[in-house]
Amino acid sequence: MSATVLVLCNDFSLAAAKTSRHLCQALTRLGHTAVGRDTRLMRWAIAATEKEFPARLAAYEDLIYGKWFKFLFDYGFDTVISLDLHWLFTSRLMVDSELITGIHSFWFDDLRSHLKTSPMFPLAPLELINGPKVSHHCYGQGQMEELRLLGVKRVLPSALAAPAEYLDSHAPCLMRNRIAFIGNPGLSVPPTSRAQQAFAKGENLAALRLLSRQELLEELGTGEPTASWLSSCPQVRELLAAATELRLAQPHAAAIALLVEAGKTYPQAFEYLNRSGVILDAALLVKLVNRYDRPGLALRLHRRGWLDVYGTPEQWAPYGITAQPTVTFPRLAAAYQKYAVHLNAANCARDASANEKLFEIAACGRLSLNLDSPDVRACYSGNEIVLAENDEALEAAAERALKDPDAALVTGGKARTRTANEHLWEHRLKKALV
Amino acid sequence: MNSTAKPSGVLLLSNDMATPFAKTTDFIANAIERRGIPAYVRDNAEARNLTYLFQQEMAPQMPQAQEAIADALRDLVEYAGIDTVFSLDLNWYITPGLFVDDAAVRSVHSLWFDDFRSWCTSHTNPNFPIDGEVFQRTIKDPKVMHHFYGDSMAQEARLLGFTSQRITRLAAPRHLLECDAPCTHRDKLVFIGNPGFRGDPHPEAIKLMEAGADIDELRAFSRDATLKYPDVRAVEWFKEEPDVVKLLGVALEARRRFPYRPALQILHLVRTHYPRAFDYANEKGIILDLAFLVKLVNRYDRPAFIHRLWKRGLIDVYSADAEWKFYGVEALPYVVFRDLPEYYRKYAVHLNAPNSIRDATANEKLFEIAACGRLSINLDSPDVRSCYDPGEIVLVDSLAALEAAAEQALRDPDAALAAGEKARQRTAREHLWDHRVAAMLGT
Repeated sequence: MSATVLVLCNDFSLAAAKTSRHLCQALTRLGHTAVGRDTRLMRWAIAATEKEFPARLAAYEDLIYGKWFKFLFDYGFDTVISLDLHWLFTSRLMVDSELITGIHSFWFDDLRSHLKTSPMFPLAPLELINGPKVSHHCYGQGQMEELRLLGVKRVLPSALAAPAEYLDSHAPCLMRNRIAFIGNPGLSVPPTSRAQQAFAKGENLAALRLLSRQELLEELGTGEPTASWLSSCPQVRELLAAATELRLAQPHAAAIALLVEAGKTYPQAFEYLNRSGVILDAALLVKLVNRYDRPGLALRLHRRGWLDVYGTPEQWAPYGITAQPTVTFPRLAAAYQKYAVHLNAANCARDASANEKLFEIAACGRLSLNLDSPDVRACYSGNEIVLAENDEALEAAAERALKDPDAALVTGGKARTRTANEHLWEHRLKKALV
Repeated sequence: MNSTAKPSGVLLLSNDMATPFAKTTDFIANAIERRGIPAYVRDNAEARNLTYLFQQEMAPQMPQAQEAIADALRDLVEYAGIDTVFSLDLNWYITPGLFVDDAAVRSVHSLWFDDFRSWCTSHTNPNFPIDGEVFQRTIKDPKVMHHFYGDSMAQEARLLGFTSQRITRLAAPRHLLECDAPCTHRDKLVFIGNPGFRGDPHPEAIKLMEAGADIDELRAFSRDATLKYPDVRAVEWFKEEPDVVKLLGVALEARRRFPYRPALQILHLVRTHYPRAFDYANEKGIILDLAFLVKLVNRYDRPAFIHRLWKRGLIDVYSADAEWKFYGVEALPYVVFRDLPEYYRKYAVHLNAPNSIRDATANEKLFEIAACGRLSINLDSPDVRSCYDPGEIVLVDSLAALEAAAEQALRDPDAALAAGEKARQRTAREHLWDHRVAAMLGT
């Protein structure tokens, strides 16, 4: 049965715009009708109206509701898909529509970040996102646990994927003696001076995680919001110390699960954070133990003179890396194929490590170097990608790949086959739309 | 305009306040994607809503709103590698320099769906307030190509000073070719759509239709009614420059005799006889308003077409009911886009008639009905004739001929379906959005 699907994105996150287009293309290939739209401007207008002319917010919502109601009706949409909650901006519109039988959120971001950066008309998000026709698809175990603990009900596992069009790309491999990293350092705030010194000394990931934990514990209470937390419940410090300690030992475990675990010893602090609605902010602090993972890995290979970095130059400059300009969407596949080997590392702000790049590099038939994590291992084996136990192992694997790029390309070819069989957006959508 | 290299990304701007426009934008986007070119459709109704909101009540924040809109699209242009912009009408026109001043954007294509006057005066298309000269300069920038689906529309544009322009017919989306819904209505014709011009019809016109007047009589009535029952604005023009009545009188008669001649061209020809009236209209900026009055000679073409067969009980009409009630036609519920192919296929024979307010007659429905393998009966006009031959569609020049053609089709629906199949094949060969996109992009 073919569906008529509205795919919503928010161009404020342009990576999401790219993926939304891939979703539309995959839906079309599956025989569905797919129409993509963006909500960025509307969200900007909601925020501006709320700030400048709150009395007109309700009238503006009516205007938006009317337009979308007619749009949904005229097109006859029966399914809505979006990354995160881009489908949610006014109460009821999608949830109440009799025509729409399924709403699917493919989580890209985390709930906390989404709600902070996506203005909506006044509504009760938890009630709406738990509607009977709403499904939440998570690409990481940690992400799933986080959503469940927050009271989100229909949470399903669904790894990210690659666009089928990358399988058709056959750009030449021109760089066999260098490794590429395409992306930003993760957090857009620059590293501290202590971290810069640690990078300069060539500290390993374990040391960098220790440092990050130390920094965040030292900063607790020196500014808001943590000052308020500590003045209301001093035990929060112990809770966070325990949770971040656990994160050092289990760097890929869900931050929220670690807080729950630590909360058994510090129940008062956990209760306080939970009741105050700041548990996600606390979870972000726990995640920040890994904040130097991605730049740390990049710097390790960069110091050896092996790595080319493509990303926002201003974000990489504090790490002493001169990045080449961001690769635009149409050039991505060719950029992946230009190099035999790619570094891949997760964004620490998300509790999910099998990022989109993992699948995209594989779809392009190239070898990716990854830190071993349950999420990544669930998608590819050690015969298809590199799964390194730590940064030293990753560096050694990089050296081997540079010495034998043909072998790297053979492994990349296996990853490509696996992607074609299991990891395209078509596979995810087929499962979601059953 | 350099459009020879394959684009790396296309941005299509829709206006979702008018969903027929949005639908066509999506069809074009799909055709572009089929050529392996990434296409991003973005709605600018939000931008226009914002403009309206900020003009009315939040004027001090206007520059901020303008910047937010420009930023949103500029970012997408940069990251998605957009080098080509498409829209129906001027939906790409939001803030003046956004695309034409961006070196990354190589070409901008306006596919005219509406007419220039209607688009610029519609309340659903507010723009940021700008100097008229900037507007003219922007839309006539060398990067901008204007595509017109009717010969007369193109001539009108030439007279308005559009130099970069070409004829690009409308078309059908490819998926219609694959629709295999059954033909269940062989004993009735169908018309899916509204009466075109939205103003209430004159009661005399309805009486004429009831009395069996043919299309030429209705055009003559419309010609006379324009001068006999002028609206408030026209009364003012006639008072300020009495020669306007004479200019219009001659132009209206010319249009009655040559119903597919461009209204603006007719006015230009009549200018030699009434230069003072023409100069008055030009200085006052009402030339397009006069052209609109001239087009209204044809205003009853579409309703009369439908009314004639409705009276005989030969036709089902699907539309918003309120639109047809003045004509005594009871419409069946409006068909949503999703169901359109099924409804096209359900009937063996369709009526098709252009909207009088546009100087172009080969409308989208002409191609869509054909793509669904069904026969359409059309008013004979140069635009329609240039797309399909008799045998693929039916061309008539009067209501009497229409009635005869309808009776014939109902008597022999198999022959109608065979003609429809020929039209489907012609559409598959020549009249899909894929063909138009290939020609426009030169790929």
